[in-house]
Amino acid sequence: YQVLNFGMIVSSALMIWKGLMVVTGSESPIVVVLSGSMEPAFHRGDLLFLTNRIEDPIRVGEIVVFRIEGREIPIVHRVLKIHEKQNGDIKFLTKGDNNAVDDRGLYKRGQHWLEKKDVVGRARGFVPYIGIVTILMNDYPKFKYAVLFLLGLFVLVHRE
Amino acid sequence: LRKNVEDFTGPRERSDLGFVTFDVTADILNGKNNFCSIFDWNVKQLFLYLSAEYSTKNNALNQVVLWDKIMLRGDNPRLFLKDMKSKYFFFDDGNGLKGNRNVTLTLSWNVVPNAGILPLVTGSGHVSVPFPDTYETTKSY
Repeated sequence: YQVLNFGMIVSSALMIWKGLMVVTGSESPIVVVLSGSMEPAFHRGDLLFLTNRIEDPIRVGEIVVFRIEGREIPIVHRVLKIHEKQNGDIKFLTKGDNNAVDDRGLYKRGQHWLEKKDVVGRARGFVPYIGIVTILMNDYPKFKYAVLFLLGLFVLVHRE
Repeated sequence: LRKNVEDFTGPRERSDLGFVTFDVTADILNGKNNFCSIFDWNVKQLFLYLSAEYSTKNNALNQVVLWDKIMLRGDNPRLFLKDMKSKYFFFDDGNGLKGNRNVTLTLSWNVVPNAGILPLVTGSGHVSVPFPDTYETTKSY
């Protein structure tokens, strides 16, 4: 029974996550802020809630989470400039609030603009600090195992 | 909210570069009937930005942030900025600034809460900045 119960918890969590992905239109509807480049608005460890609906146009001032081609780490910065064509093709430039210069230096060699395909989502809401747990788990694998162990223990104990 | 500007364009490589100077007078505490402040208990900061929006032959919509400011809760909520130069280079993607009569400047802000939704608000009132038909060759910037 415990195995089934555990399976139920895992699959419910998965369903919720996938459901969130569909509703928000983003492949990563919740992200953790990894750097201080958006301070004082966001700090390392803050959790951001994203949407990525195609109907939402990208406009300056918005906070976007994007990935640079070939790189895994998502970056959370603000849109500084946009140039959009009649047919909806858009190219835009970003900059971190806490950075002195725009992100051109971060983009791929020869890349001057970001496009819709680079966007993971738009930040719509956030909760501070909570994401610190994922950062800790990443930086200190022992911590991750401890957390998983405790979770497992909790599930077992709870059943009785 | 009021803005006044002067302007001239300069060619840089192959794209138009616009220079705009402006004044910003803003009172973020809006005092109407009920004196309600935007800075309530859940507002950590306001990210203000002045953006120029216009259309060109190349691109149906262009938006360029010219200037931004972070206003933290507790900072003076009144802005009296005069003769400000734009913080960021106002490059067009092409030569669409020359003779463009329809460049609109708007002040907007992103409300950053302590926790919760991140709304973007556009200020009421905007200023139109017509760009001249000729390029300025002397750099008096």
